[in-house]
Amino acid sequence: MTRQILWRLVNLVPLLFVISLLVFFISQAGPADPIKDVLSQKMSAEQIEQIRQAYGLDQTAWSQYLHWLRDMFTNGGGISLSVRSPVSGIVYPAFLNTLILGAATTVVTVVLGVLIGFAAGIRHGRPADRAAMLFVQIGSNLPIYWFGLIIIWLTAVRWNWLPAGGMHDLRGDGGFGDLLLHLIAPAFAASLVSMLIVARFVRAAVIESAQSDYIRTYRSQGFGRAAILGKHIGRNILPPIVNTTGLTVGSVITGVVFVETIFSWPGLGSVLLNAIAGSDYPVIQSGILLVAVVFVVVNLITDVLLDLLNPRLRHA
Amino acid sequence: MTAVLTVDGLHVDFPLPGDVVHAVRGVDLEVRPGEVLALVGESGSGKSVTAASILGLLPGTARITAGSIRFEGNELVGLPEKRLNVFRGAGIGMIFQDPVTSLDPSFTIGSQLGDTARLHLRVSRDEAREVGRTWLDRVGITDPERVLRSYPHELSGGMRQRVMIALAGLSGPKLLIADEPTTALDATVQKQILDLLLDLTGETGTAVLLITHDFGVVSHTSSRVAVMREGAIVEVGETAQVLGAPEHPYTRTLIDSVPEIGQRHSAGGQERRLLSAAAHTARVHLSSETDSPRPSPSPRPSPSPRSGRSPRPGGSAGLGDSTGPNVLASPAAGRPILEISRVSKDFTVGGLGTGRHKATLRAVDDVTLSVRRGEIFGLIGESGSGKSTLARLAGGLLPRTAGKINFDGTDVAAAGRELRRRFQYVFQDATTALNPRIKVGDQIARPLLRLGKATGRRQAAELTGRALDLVGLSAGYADRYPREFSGGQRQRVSIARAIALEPDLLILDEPTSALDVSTQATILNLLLDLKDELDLTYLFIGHNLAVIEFVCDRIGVMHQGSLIETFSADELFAADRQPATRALLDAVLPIGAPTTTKG
Repeated sequence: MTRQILWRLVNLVPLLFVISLLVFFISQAGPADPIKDVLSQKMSAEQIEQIRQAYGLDQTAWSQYLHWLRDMFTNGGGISLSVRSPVSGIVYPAFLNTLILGAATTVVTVVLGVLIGFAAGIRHGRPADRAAMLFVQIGSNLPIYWFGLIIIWLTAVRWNWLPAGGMHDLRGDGGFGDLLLHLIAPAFAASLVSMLIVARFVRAAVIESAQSDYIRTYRSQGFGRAAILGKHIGRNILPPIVNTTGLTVGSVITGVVFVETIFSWPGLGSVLLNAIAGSDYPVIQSGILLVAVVFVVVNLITDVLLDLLNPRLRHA
Repeated sequence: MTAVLTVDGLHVDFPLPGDVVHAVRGVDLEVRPGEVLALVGESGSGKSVTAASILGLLPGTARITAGSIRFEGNELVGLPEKRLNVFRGAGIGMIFQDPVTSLDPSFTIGSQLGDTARLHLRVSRDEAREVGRTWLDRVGITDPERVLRSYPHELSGGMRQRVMIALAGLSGPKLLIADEPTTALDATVQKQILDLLLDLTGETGTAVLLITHDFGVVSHTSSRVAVMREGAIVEVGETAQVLGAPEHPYTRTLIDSVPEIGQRHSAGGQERRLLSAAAHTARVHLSSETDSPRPSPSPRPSPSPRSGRSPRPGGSAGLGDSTGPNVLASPAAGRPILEISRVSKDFTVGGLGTGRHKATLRAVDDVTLSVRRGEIFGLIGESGSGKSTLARLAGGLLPRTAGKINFDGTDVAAAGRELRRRFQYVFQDATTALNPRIKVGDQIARPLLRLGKATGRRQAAELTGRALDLVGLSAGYADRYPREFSGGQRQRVSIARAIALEPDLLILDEPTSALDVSTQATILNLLLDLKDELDLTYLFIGHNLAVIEFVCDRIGVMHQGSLIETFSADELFAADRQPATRALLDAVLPIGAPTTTKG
């Protein structure tokens, strides 16, 4: 088992290298020219050339890549083209805020997804199950930004329960309770689609497990419904829960980027939007690389958890 | 003597969209204290549904529509789950067919035994573990400590079924329902498990309702037997009486469908067909009822003399029966058509990229054998002995690790289209061996075109029709999809697909293992007929020694990847057989002589 985990960690190195190549060269291939966007029209050709040299933009793509890679490790990801400060100072705080929102979203996804899926699964084929599936069908087709606006309108404008946006109350002390209050609405909005995907898979897993031969064995021995549902079906649906949750993290992250904009959350989403608008390549590249790393790490955790949950792999 | 269990006029329906299937139609049954009652029948006869209704474990939408089930005087029909749980386990235990899926894969054996012990015996966690240990000991597991810590997948099928017996037994039920408890197990394990079941229930005086399709199991275990067909019981009686002198023609047909070990000799070795007794009873031809594609009403009008049997031209049966092709094709006379010399096959698991140590499993180990033209060579062994792997190697379906395989003098790995046409396969499970989305006619025609047997679509269609006709399906069936056929008919389609190419050699990989006994009998007869008519050679892989002995001319025994011995089928009972062969022979449960002392 330890051997397998170590092997997966070793595998990360070439994977991250390939990701860094992709991130760098795909953004390089874009049509925008950072110098033209950043500087004024009045500069002469020589002046522009000078600046190109200063930023290393006249070198070959490969040496630019190596430069960039070196900066990622030593220089805080290089200097932002638009703000002229180290990229790390711009990207990392925003990234941390996004992680907070992403984690909250994942928690809501798992809790509500499992509850809905389980409740529907054990009522397989009955009206409650059909109603839940209809809700899943409709809900997973709602556009996130529209859903986010509806939530703001209901919770903040109409009922005035929750703050309409931001991460902290400007007049408050910025404590943990305040943060949680600000998290509720955006986390719920961002988790909508992934929550319903999880619900769908959990429902299927519950139905499959409930119809399995080993559950029939427990029933034949006189175990009560509560014990069977809680212990045995509960344990056997864990792998699909972990699996789908890991897979939906992708849609969670993209959802978070939308939601940040709607809820004025000071996260990576708004930073990236600004950077794209300003062709600020160092910021774009660092930001995307961080998102990719989150993906890879979540996948790693998912795989390891799945191995741990499967007796066949655990004892191998 | 009051019965432990009384079933009265039981009806069970499966509602389908727009239709209702009456799976059980008025079953009456009585299980007496301490007896073993066998409930025997073919698939779809409703025996498992009957068993499931007793404990309220009917699947899906199935409902009991009428009747009563009384256990020690308590009516079980209509009880809510909660009240049924009083009887489940404590009063009535149950053992299921498939020990692989019937144990929870996510919990250790110790945990599953412990949960059951705590539920029924009201003991502490530690005591429950002790109970589990004692019971594993009782069901003949020699290292209970290791098994307690094991997960189901770490145990063999036989071990798992022992665990199932412990699970069902530890709550001390008055009645044990065993639903095909040994069907998924190897023949050599089957007898051990049945004997264990009989010993344990004998000790405690537990009555057993044993559901099975195997008359050998009936004969070995039961004191009384009930024969079920199409949802109703057609005959009940003392086992010896029912097996020796069945009253109902259906029972007779079923028993006659099963090849008995040693039957080959009485049949003279040359005229080998099953269901031979059917002609003496009323016109009960199971094959024409449950498996009814033949255009003629009676597929085997006169079973013992073969004169009228072969209406098709080209067959050699026109001459007197005494000189059938089997006599001419004396096994010793044939030249080898398939020569396997020093063949080995390794499978590799793990290695770079998997995070596991690389390991090599030798599935086939240095096997040498030759199949002679015109013979039926039987290959037998327990599951995992490498016989199916060898069958796949023989036709070049798998690359071999070492050795040589020649078909008619040419290496099969280098076989061109013409050579490949000449050896064909029939696999065990026709349901998965046929493409479900392609009409069976196309499935037969495609290889004809591909391997150059037919030059155009019209000729392919014509040959397809002829092949379907040969296997007893009419050419009109070509436009149907596999799902429209019964299990036996699908296997006929598989055979048609193979013989349409006019091969010389058929490799039959357990062609009847997935079929009911009566269907098995018709398929075996069909194979024997086709061999004579088309001058075929068979490599017949099987695990049922009685079938192999009945059908084959020579027998090879595989054990742990090696071919341990080869002998003529007549010499199966010779004194110098290898221990592994003997074990297979001892595992056969004959129908003829009931060995039970219970009752």
